[in-house]
Amino acid sequence: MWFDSPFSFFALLGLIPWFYWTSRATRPREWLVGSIEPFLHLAAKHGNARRRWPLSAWLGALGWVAIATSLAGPRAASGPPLQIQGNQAEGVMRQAFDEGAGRFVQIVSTQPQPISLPPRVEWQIIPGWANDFADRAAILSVRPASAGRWAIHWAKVGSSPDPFFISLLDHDVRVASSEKQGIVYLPHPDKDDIRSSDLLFEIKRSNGKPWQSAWSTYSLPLPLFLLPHADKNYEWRDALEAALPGSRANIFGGLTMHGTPILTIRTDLQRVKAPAGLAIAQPTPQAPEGFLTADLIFDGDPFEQCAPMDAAAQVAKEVRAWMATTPDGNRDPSDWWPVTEPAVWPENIWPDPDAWPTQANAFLLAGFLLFGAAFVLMHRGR
Amino acid sequence: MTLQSELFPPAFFRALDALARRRVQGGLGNRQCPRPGRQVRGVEHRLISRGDSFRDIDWRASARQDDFLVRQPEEERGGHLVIWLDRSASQAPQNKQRDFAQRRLAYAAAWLALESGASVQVQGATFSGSQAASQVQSSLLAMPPPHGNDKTFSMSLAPMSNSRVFVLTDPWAGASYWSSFEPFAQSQKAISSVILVSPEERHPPSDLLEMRDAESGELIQIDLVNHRAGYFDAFEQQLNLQQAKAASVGVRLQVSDLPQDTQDFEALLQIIEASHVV
Repeated sequence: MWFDSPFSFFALLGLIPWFYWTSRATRPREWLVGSIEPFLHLAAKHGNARRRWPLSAWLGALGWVAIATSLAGPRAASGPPLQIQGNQAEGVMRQAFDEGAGRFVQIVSTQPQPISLPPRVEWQIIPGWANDFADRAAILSVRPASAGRWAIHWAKVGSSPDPFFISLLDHDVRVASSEKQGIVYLPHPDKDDIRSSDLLFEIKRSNGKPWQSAWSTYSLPLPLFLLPHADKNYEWRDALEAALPGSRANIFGGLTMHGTPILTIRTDLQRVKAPAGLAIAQPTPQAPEGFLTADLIFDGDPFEQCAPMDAAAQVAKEVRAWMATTPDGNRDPSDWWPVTEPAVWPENIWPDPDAWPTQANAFLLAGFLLFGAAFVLMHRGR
Repeated sequence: MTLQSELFPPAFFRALDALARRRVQGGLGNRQCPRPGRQVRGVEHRLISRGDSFRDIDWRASARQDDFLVRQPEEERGGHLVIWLDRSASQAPQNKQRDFAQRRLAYAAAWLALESGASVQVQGATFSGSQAASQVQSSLLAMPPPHGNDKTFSMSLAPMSNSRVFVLTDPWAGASYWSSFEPFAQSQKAISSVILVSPEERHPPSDLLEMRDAESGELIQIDLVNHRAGYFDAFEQQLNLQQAKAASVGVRLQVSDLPQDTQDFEALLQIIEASHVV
């Protein structure tokens, strides 16, 4: 749980005088009488037990904590319902592509998690005080569509009348400002236009300034699922680069949802010959959830079973043999893009900012109710 | 503020004077008639005449009438009044109200008795004559604050026979206190006792109380927020118990609530009227 104003927790220091005051206020009052004899049976019946901290003190303290939490916590009505940090968005989208477009999206927002969030969408709340950006639109997912197009799922929030554009290299699509979210289709760029191995999806304002960028490798990465801590194992990378000359292998540790190290091979698009996917699962042959089913599976880790040179040779042999059986690499991405169900986004995923009570208001209300109950109990001597 | 002015302020004497006038003037058929005589100073005034002593001049009345007035001598009446004050610590557990009320009532009873020609005995000291009232007042002022317990009472009380006995006490007198009346109950004309109930005893605070016994110092804790009715029941039972004990030894007991306003002397002196001791 994030807090917009964590400094409000300093209000908890007020618990010290609160406990002191309640302890004094509920202390028994000394009362001199001529004789206690007539009242002995009352004392015997109701006892002399007195707690140092009465129930009202604890109840009021709970109320105090609830109010402080409410003041510190996220408040839905305090800002636009969606904000996506640029740098985070890059990571989000890369992760989305790497693991299968439309299958895993991470949204970074100052707002509470929307209702009916689709599965595989991770909603990460960041504190408002740490958020110095004001993007009001986001690419939620990108996946290849039929006929050589990309389907780009976007969402827009706020009431800004400015239209914006979603671009893929030189291609732009104007998005109507009246809509909240939708899917636009952009044509697959000519491979010759791509000088690097990355594609750049962008949201641009009407004045052409980028609003949000989403980077991704265009070529399908070759995910290699390794054992834990195997992201330090460069033998695999070297073996794969040797097997696929001209490719670049990068190891990313803990990139998957499950924290499994992933070894990807980034290849130059113009040289790659149909890298439909390579996955070597170890020790289990099944790819982790969210990844492609492995097309090529090694039975065991060659580097644990053989000498390094022998293992590299074995990897190169099997990869080349598998590559020889794969179709031409110039096929449409929709052919080799992971066949996954597109993310289903409900019509209205955003919470109503005017909805009441929000979490903060509920805490506030609970705090005051607890305080009221504490004073009632105190009045009753408890 | 001196104890004299605090305990016996001018307003008290005005109220006492008004009480005396009410008693003298009374209503139709309910009037006390002065009996002219030579024994004691009466309540009626007359102009000074040859043969009167300057000491007989009632300076206060003279100042009001702008002429020298003396009190008309009356014959001595009223016999002997024994006033006994329960001076145990239970008299003043919270404040001085009951202590002061007790001494004021004692003075009022003594003054009225002296005015009616009686001699009085206050805490064992006998007073009579023209200076008796001021002597009673001095003795009441000199009394130490309430302290100790009421078990020493039986040793102290030894009135002369055929007297009227007037005892001022509180609701907390123990069994030994009442049993001390037994030896001489038959030899007295009447034994009247007034239990003075303080407003705090009638209306204790609604709170968690650490109740301390003023005499023994013992401590108990009582929740008067949630069990207030229990206190009232216990207090009423205590008063009923005192009534029963007093009746068993032949003491006529009167339970009187002290007025909330400590300066309401007229209300205070009504206790004297109600007791019929004078």
